[in-house]
Amino acid sequence: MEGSPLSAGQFALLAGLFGAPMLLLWAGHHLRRKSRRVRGAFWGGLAGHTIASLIAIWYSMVPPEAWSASDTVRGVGGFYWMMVGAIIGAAIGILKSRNQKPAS
Amino acid sequence: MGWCSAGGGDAVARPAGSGKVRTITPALPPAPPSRRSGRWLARAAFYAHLWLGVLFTVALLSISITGILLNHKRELGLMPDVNHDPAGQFTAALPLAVLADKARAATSPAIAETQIDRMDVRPRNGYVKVRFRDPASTEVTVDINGGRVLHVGPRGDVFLERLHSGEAFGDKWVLLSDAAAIALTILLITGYWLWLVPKWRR
Repeated sequence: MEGSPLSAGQFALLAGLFGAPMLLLWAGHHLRRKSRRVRGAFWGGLAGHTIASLIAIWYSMVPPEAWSASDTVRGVGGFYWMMVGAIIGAAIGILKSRNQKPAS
Repeated sequence: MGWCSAGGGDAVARPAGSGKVRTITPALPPAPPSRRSGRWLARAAFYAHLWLGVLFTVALLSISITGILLNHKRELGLMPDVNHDPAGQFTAALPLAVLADKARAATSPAIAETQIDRMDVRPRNGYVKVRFRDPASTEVTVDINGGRVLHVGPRGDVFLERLHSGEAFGDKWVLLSDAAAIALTILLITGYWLWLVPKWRR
């Protein structure tokens, strides 16, 4: 591991750990002034990231002796899920904001 | 003519009937330098508290949970609790190489092939803990005088320790734990600043 470049899983972990919250902070700044699409993406992304973070923390606590060679669920849950959860949540938020009627 | 005040203490004139807004000369004198710097500090403290709090939520949550689990590792069965009294004098203990062989013999061949990570000698209890470098961090507790195997089992707390420090992801990932600790310190300072400084100013 010494001196090796960042693996795809580690990159996804960093993106989920710091990238997604940073984007959420940017989107949440002056939220009321933002467009409906950005507001939908913010709330969807926030919900998706929160749920995904809890799943990632849960999977990260699985001790190594319980891992198996074909254990992809743990890898996806621990490394990729925070980033993917935020993206899926934001996408759902955008889609929901499109279907909503504008406030009268 | 309607009047409203703007954020920086300037007065804003909004003539009735027209949508135009024009700024006129400040109605109040500018704030003294100490108050201005205080406002700047409060703003910086607020944003540092907000950004660091959000960015390090998951890392700090993970460190907190692993910390609680490590505090109660005995009760949770993450490490063995072997009750044993010394069977003889420490000077009469078996050599470390012999104790290591006894430990190897007590494990499966796959574990015995791996390197020994450490040997933790406890003269007060009369045993040595021999830990292997397998994924489960298997530990064999051996009586140092008779060579009797007292316990064989995985050490669940080793992985939690590595997760707590960040080493579970790689050697350099301890920096993540360092960053989270620094962030927590700044969060504490800024939190107290935002809470107490406005009270002192009143």
